[in-house]
Amino acid sequence: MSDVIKLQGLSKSYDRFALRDISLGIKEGYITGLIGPNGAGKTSLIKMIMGMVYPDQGDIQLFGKNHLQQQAANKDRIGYVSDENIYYEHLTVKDMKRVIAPFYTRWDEKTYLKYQEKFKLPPGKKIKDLSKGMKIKFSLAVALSHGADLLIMDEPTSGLDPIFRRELLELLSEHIQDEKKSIVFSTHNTSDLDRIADYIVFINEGRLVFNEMRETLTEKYLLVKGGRELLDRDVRHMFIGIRETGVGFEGLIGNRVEGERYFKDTAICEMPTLEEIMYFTVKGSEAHV
Amino acid sequence: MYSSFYLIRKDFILTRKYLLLLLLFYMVIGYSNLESYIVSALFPSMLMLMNACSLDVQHNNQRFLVSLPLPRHQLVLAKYLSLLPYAAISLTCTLLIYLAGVATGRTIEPIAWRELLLVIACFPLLASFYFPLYYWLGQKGMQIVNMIFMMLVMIGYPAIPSVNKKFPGLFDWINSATTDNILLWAIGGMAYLFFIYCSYLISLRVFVKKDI
Repeated sequence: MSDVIKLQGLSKSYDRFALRDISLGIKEGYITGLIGPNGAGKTSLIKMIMGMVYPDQGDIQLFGKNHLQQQAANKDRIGYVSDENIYYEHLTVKDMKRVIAPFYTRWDEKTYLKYQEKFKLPPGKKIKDLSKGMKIKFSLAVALSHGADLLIMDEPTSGLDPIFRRELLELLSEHIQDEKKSIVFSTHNTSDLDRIADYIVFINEGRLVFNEMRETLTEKYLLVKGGRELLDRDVRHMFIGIRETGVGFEGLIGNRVEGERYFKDTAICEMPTLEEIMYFTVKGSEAHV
Repeated sequence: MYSSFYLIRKDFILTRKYLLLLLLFYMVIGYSNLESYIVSALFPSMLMLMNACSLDVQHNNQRFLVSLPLPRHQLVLAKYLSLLPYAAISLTCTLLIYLAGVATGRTIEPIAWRELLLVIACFPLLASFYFPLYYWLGQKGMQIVNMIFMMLVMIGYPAIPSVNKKFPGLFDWINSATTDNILLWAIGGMAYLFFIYCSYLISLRVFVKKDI
């Protein structure tokens, strides 16, 4: 199983934020969800992969080739859906498509027309007059019409209604059926990932927290709920993050086996959701600042 | 090379609507100031260029351009190559104004080709200052840069006759058609191309490593 994206020691510093030493691999043929709170570095990372931002340090490989040297060839195989509209707003959908199509060697007009119909995209409507959902649909129609082997999507589901949100997730699942296509998408909404993601990459404060199979995550982490009397100084160190209330606490432990052994008889032990893993990790890192 | 063609085509699709209005406006103004139709030949090309460049940096449009399967130097090269069609449109419009003047009997003088081509040739020269600033400043500084360049074109318009008065030798040299100054023309031409090439290299250096 090869890596469609391989990042090695990627660092980038801004005035108030830095991505630090990110090394990870995105597996070919799978859907990888990129999660993290606002300002964690998800968009910066995607921009680096897309060649929009240059890293201060580190190496990016796409499809096994050095991305800096092979950017044009690599991008021909990438479908990019941005979190913001990147198209010329005063152009119509039809004109925008006319602008984009000639640049892709594998552009398929029939496929585009199929998606235009499926998404009910009005060809004569200006991009600026499209709703957020329609803009995403147009980006997606473009991304899917040039035979992209890798879809990179930055917050594609934000601002979408629940019906299209589901449709989109189904579409993405269909897209990777031939096991050669890969998808990376960033989101705040971890329930989207619960539905379709095979791998989860979690970034917090510019650092990689983990890059794991979704299924193994729940086996690794443990959510503990119990009374506050259980929390002495040593016990607190076992937790990645803790939320205390007047009557008790709930917290996340990174070592499920150890956690279960310790709390099995004294507290409630549950399998955490992705959202809980994200929440407690961020909370824990804030507490350690 | 095909990519450059499609990028230039993209600029024309973007500016299509403004273009028709702009050229119509220019031709009406040019015809009503027929005595100085040559010096105003710089206007349409410069306006078309600034318009296309402004649209590329608005909103997140540069992110779109960089997401295309093209090396960044291709984006810069296409902008420099787009000077040719803009200059050709300027030339065509100016000729149409002249022909309209001849047809209506408002001018009987033969067309001053040298002056006309010289003014048209000033456009790439001006653009060679414009482009590095455009790539360097991006969206934030472009409005100021556009304003400065428009002022330069507008100030340059009435200034040309005064240059003629101050440096009559220059215009005599331009107007002389003797073959003994071919070498000077060749050196001037080479220097002209070299200057544009230097501007291209600077723009490339600025844009290729720029974070979008």
